[in-house]
Amino acid sequence: MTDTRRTIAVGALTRVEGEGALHVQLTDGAVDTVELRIYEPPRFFEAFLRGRSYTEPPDLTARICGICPVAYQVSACNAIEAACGVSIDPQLVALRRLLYCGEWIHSHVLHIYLLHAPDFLGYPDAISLAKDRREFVERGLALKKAGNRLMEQLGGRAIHPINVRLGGFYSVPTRDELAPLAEMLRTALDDALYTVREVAAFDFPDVGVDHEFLALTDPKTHPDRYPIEDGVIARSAGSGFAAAEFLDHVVEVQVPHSTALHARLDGGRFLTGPLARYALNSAALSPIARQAAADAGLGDECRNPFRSIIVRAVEVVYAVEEALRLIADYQPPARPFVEVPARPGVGHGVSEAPRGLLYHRYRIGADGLIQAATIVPPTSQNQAAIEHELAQLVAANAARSDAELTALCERAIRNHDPCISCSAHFLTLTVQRN
Amino acid sequence: MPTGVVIGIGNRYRRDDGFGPAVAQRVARHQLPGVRVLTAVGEPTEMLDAWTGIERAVVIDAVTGPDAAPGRVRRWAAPDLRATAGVSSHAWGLAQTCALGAALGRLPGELILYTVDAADTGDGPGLSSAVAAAVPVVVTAVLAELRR
Repeated sequence: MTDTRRTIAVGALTRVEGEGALHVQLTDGAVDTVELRIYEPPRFFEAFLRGRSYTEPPDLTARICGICPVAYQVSACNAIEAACGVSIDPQLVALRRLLYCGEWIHSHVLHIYLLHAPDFLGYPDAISLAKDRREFVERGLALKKAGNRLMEQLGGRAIHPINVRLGGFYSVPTRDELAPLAEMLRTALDDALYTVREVAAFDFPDVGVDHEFLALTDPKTHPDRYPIEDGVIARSAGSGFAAAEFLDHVVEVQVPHSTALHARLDGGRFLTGPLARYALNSAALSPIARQAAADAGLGDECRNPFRSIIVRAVEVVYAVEEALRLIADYQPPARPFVEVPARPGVGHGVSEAPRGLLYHRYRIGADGLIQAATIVPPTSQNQAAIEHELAQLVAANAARSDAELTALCERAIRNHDPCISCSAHFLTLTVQRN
Repeated sequence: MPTGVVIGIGNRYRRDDGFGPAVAQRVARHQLPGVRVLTAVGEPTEMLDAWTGIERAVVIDAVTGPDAAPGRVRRWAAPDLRATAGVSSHAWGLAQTCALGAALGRLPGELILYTVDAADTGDGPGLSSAVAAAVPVVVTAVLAELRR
């Protein structure tokens, strides 16, 4: 029998944020290489931030992503406020968290309904899914709209909010302005619980991953608060570390096949995002979200990336409930922002973007200008883990046809809702069978 | 409930991409009864919400393409829009939104699209002279559509 070499190639990945490709090579059923190739050109954000005012990163870095701009704004604010030695008023933190809930709802629901669900229901795209499952897609769109409305109200607009500044906001809402949002969110909570029930009934491939998990937690000061806008860095094996130590533990390396950097956690493979966040924080979920998770069959942790769609749906329930709580408790802050005077030094900031932990670091000079900026988005942290999952999946399914393998690989990538544009610093699949 | 809606799609800080909002702004000044005028970035749910249950929707947008003739105005009826296979979520455009609207039974009674070929979609406000000259032409055409 002669050697059989197979190459599976996807030239442009679909239903992801951005542009990438996949190349898989096998010889006699054994996997030689799996490369997630991110070919979006690098965007040089870290370089052009140098020499800009220390007040500008929240607005400039928001432009890295149209899906998760609030994550960039909040991590940037956290880092610069830390550098300047300023902590902001609790009401302003609560408003930041409320704005961020809007982004979680909108981003997760976009992924669940328009990008991910077609994989489980056997449709090529959301449009053909919508033809057959009208109510399902309509409820998803209504839920996404609730997230968009929150972002519009607090951020000034739904995409690339303009109301966030260092120290807080340019303007803050009145209680009356938030009241209609609460009404909309009560309906959204029904839609969110419906979403968990629907996605929990999907068929899932039986796989498990052994990556280390990295996520924020806050068990000491907020044991009942799921991490969103801030927290302390925790991991599933070993002890956590401060944001200031992030780059000592998470080391980025250039790989030839991708414009996104790969990352290792103390030399090892790791994963950030919904699975990691849930595993390290499931006890901090609200009672309704925890019950929804239990009813959906999720334990304290979930290690099947295909089931991440359920975790996202549970996180949407949480974000809706949390938004309702924040609105009910809302008292307009005495001032819309705290002054953040420039101070030379280095600051580190983290927050939980929908796709995982987002780290920012800035060095500010005596002239108030940025001397150095480092941004480590979740998708680039996850690339090595995704490639590992793909290699396992291809090895276990090598007997399948190229078309089936290709479809399975694309699904495995979408499990992580990769934001290619954020990481480039996305998927065309090639499978080469040797 | 308005019977007509005018949607100017675009970003006024990207030169000629501001064509849709520029036309919408001028149409709004006419305060046509029963007509709602808005500007949009083209996000699908925003578009579906704007035109669901509406008799006639007129959408204005700037376009680019390999054989673009800056300032050229074209009128399209919805059936002319062909949704090409979307690659990433970033490539979701008006054609995909129309296809989703059709799947959900959420298209207006009549959907008309006016496009202008852009000359410059670089950073900053202000239309190129060729595209600016097309603004009054399309405003007149849109008003005529709504008065039919």
